[in-house]
Amino acid sequence: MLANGNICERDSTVKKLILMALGAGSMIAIAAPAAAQNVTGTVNITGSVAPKCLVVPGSGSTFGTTVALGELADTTGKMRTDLAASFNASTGLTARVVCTTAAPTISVDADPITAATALGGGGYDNSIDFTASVAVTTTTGPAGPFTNDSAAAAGADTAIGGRLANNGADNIAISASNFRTDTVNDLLAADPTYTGKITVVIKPGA
Amino acid sequence: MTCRGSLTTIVLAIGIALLPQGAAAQTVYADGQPGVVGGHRDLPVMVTASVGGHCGFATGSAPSGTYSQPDFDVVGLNHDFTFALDCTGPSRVAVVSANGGLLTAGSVPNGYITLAPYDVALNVVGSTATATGSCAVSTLTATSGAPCTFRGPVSQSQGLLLNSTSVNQPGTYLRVSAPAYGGPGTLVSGSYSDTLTVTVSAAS
Repeated sequence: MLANGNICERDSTVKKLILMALGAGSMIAIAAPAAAQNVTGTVNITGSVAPKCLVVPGSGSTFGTTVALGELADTTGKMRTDLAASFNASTGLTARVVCTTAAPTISVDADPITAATALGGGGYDNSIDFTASVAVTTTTGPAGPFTNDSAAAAGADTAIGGRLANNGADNIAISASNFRTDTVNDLLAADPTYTGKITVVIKPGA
Repeated sequence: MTCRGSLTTIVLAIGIALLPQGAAAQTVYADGQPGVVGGHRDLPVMVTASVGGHCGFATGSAPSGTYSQPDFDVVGLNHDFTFALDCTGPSRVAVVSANGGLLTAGSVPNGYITLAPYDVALNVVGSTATATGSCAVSTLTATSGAPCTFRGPVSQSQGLLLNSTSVNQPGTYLRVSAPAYGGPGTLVSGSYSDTLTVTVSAAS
């Protein structure tokens, strides 16, 4: 076709060929930078922290101590009147507990100090009742005290009212008061082993 | 303008277009020159070009997926996201964390926290080299003041450098890990999450 046409026709055809070549050259010039494009991948990490309460430092589930009151009776055979002072002067009655939840609860259950085998009655008593009290510190200040008397049923779960303080100091403090026999003149029955207990349960709550 | 004049203009245009790519500018038509043979005009158009190296994730092997770890505060974190590169030259890999840790919603008082730390490690395997790095996830956020060396977004000069080709090499992974949380503070209960964005680029 080029051979048979006039110059201008041939030139016109050549123009088309050249324009096509120019177009191809242009495409090469544009294609080269595309190799620098970044590519992206995405991964997700999920996890959960369960509602729970911990004794810290560490991650214990229990705290406590044994208070040895010694001889419970005075020289007259009646209950000593300084048992509360003696109990509250003991060490180990504080603890640091934290909960992962915002509304933990507490329950207190005091069991009387009772003779292992001795019997009471007729002016003698084989148990001492008392009132247990637990003071709590939350992130916003003191809460409680939460109490239970050993003569009463166990205390129910009660909202503490805020997150337990987590400032490095103990936030649970146990004390006892109102130690008593059935009547003020009862003599304590002799027994080598009197035991009582205060149980404090702190739960994560709802 | 004559037909010939018009054609000459076009020929010059070709030369200009090709010069930046290193092609030799060549006059392909001129009266009385050997380029005209028997009424035909041979129009040799010299085009030189190069195919640049490509770099990305191997097909179907980009970092993806979800790692879920209940009670991570007690049992910790440990997971590898495997992936593979398709880079015909040196490459860089970078990571950005959306939260700078595992985050749960809400505000909490002093002594409690909602952002759990963990570590992010990269192990990028090439044909002749392996690049490794590890950073606390807190240094991988877009706003971190002391960013990790492979904090993204990736560029030709930013990210973990693999000075090797890597085409579907096995052994490349992104690892997240943390021991059981021991403080400071106490993590509050809830659902936590973070997103890591991994980018790859050819290195300069």
